[in-house]
Amino acid sequence: MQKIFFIMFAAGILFFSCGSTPPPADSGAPPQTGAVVDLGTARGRADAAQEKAKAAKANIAVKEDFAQAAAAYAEAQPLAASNPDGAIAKYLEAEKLFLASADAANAKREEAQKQLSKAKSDIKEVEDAAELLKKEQKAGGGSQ
Amino acid sequence: MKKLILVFLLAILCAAGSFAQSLQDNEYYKKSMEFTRLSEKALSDGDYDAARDYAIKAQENAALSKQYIEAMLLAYRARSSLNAARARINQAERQNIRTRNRELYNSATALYKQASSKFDAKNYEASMEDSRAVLAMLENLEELLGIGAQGPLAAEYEVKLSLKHRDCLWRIAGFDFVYGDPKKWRSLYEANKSKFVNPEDPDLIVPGQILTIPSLQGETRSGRR
Repeated sequence: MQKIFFIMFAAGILFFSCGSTPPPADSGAPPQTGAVVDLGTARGRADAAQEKAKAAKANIAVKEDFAQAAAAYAEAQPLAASNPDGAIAKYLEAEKLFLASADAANAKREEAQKQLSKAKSDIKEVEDAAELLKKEQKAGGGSQ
Repeated sequence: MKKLILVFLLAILCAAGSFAQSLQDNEYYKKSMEFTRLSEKALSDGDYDAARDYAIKAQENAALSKQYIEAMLLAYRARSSLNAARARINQAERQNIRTRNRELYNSATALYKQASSKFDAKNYEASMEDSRAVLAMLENLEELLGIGAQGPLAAEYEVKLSLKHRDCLWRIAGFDFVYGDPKKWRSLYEANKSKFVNPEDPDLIVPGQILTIPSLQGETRSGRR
């Protein structure tokens, strides 16, 4: 009986300790300061950030920012064999730049969408005013 | 005459058509639609700066378009008010306002002219104010002209024997319920001379004789006085 209680107690401790373990870091998030990242991981992060930037059309919306990120990525590739640490640093820099370009593109898209919505709403007001005039004309009299 | 009316009606229809058409076809509206289309395309292409710039141009043109339509709306309302004022003056003229209340007539026509000039000068708000003032001035017209007290306009008149005032066409035409204007006696004469004892003599009317009172400007008449 004591054995059974001991097993249940141990299982309980194991359960709660697993539940309180922090979740693994998001693969899209920038690396934590001081964290050790291998070459493959750094390259994977840079690739993912580049995809995100392309999806936000940063290569068109913020061409220069995107080109800067792409240049950092390109610099990392030849260093992979001779200077892996240097390559990792460049990939991480490219990741950061790609993500920043994606954010900048998204901000520009939001602003453009906001202005476009305003334009559509203004046009709707024009159409409403035209409709009002048409109705008054049809009724055959304005306000007397 | 019929031809003239037909041409006039056609002219009104054409004017109304072109007026309505000019709304949706105004250049500013067209430009605002075009810039919106360009903005949408730039947005889908990822050229967000261009999309924003086109959208702002679309807004600017929409604002100009709205101003244009609002100006047309105001002009239309001012025109309608002016027409209503003119119609009220015409109605008053048919009821002989000139002879019944010359002062009122002069004030109303002067104000109407003012409204008309302001309309021509595109001062629509002020023109509307004057037109409304004309309408207000001639409101309750029958009361103002004292028609209500005398009853409606008569369609017939029975010549009476009066020792004080002898009935004659001049006097009868001057009654408010006839024409309110003695100078219109000839209309009575022309309409009734075939029934006269001597059709050549407008002075010879006899008590009990029924005179028909023709409408001169389409005014409604009924009953005998």
